[in-house]
Amino acid sequence: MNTSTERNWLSNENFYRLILAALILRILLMPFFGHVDVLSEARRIYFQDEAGIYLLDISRNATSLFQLFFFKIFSVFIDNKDILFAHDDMQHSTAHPGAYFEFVSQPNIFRVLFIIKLPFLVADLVVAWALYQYCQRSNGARQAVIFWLFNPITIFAFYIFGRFESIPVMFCMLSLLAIQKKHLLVAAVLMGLSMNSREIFIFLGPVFVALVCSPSCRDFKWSSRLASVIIIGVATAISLKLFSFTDTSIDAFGREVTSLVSEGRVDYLFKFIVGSYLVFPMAYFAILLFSWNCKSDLNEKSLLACSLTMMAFFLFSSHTAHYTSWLVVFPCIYFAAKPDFLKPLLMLCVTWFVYNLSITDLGVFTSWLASPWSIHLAGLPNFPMLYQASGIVKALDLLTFSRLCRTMYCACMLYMAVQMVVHYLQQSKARTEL
Amino acid sequence: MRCCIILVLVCLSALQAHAIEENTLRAPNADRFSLKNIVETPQGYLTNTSNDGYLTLAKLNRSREQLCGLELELEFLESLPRPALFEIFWRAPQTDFSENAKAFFIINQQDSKTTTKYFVPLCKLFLYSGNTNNGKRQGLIEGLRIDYPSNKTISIKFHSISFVDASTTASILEQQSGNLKILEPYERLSANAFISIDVALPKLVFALQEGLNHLTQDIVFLIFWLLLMLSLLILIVRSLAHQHFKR
Repeated sequence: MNTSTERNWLSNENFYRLILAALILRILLMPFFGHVDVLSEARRIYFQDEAGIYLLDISRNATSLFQLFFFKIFSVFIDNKDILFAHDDMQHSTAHPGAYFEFVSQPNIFRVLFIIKLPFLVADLVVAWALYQYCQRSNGARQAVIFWLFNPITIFAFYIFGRFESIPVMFCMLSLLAIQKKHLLVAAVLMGLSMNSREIFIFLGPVFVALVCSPSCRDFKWSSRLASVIIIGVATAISLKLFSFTDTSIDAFGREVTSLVSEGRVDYLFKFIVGSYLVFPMAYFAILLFSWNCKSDLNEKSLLACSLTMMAFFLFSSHTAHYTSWLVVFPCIYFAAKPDFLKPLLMLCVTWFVYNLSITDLGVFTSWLASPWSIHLAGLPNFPMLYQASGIVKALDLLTFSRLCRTMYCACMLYMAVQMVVHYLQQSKARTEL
Repeated sequence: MRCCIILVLVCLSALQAHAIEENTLRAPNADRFSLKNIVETPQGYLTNTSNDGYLTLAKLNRSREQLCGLELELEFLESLPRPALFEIFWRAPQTDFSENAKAFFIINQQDSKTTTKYFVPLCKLFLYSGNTNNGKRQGLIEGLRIDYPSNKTISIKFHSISFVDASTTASILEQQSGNLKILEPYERLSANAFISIDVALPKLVFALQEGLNHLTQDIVFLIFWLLLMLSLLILIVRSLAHQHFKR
């Protein structure tokens, strides 16, 4: 692409139009798709709203509060909420498919899905804004924002699968922005909120503490550093349920309060083992060491450490299609500075799509998600079934195909992780030479 | 109530090319009809007593072409608070009911407020009748089972249960009579079936139409949603026009 074409493409007008187009795309998708988890989460939020419960013994309090805020405002446009969201057995965290089919058969289901997804839309747009600010409103920043707004991974996670993943990403991105602006305490609070929005972001807590304890933070007052460490410590304790909000062992839904570990949610993190080495913890520990030890600029180092933590998680653990949305914002930031990040980013999207198509992950990546439009779509065969029925399977069996897809998907992430480190080293070298 | 259903069922034995008229009923035959985890109230309503309540129609022994559509006239003791999912199983002679031969339909709360005639076009199910290239599924039907929703207790008076043949089903679907509520059954299709265009295309077309019909049920939201997108589109067009005329 020559410079003049690039300039035209990134003009103020085009940027403005593309943002509007991205909004139209989101509004178009919001009413018609949703996973069964949309109902599970909506009924939890409804229950909390009805019962006036704002803090629960769950590791997603910040997400719940954010959604509750929107629910309080916009649920006035939903009739018969008790019929829509009420469920016989609130102790089951996931709704039964039968209950889900009844839910999506409601005459006002499109309106309901649209309203439920409003907080995800707002968080998504805040991420775009923060990304633009973080990348200094440059041409590259515009490219990054456009990629963020049109990448299929986050669009799928927030509007088709219909999950709240944009909320923890928003807090995380705002925290990085606060670090860049040298507001350490604000950054700590935002990171704490991020950790209490989604379980995986808890890994960024120790990274944050390591960064604050590192030589890169010498410019900050010791009191600020200490306070931010305390904030992260409290956020971690809440997330791990080391202390209780309700002072009982039973939560508001009547379930036994359990820790992340006892629920088995972190189990899959340690399943990738080479010999006797647990690979994700090994990579994570190396990132912690780097964060603590390295003397370089706090802003660049925090970005790299957070990016690599997420990369390590997705490289060395099993996960579902919508989880990848936690990762996308980091390569987008690098894309703003390095235009040659475009191809790996595009390839990440392509390989993510094909990989998840090949595994479907228990109905997460199938036409089932379009059940609100028509339940008929829930009964259609998924890609692995069609693959097995086709002649291709004689040349390449499904298992090998899905492994190949996963390998290529991981290769994209690995390449990007290396490029991130290279970029960081180049920046550090340039800074030293100056 | 039970006798009434049995009477209707017995008339199935006289089933030939057309829907059975109620006045052709013969002597009751209790072994054709059974209830499981369902009790009959003094008022004649059938109420499920557990999450696995169902009624079974047996000894039908008719071809799928003859048993093409299922007509139900139902009255709910209390209107449904939310949609209810009913499963429907069928079986050939010398076979059991199985997960491979089932579908489900949903009755909405609006339709449950009054006594309503429902029509379930079973023949539209690939699993029930196959497509034109698949004669294997055209064998006899011996039994049919209707499962109550597993997640709620409901009481229904079955005013009538009858079957209609393929030609009558086609005309009913064509006419879309106002006093007959058509309940499209949903099924899980195998990949081998779906790769056939004469199966996939009607399914996809129907799904598209169903969504459009669904969309028009909430007109206020539809107008709001369209206006929202239209206003954003106008902003884009305005920006383009502004840039064009500035040049």
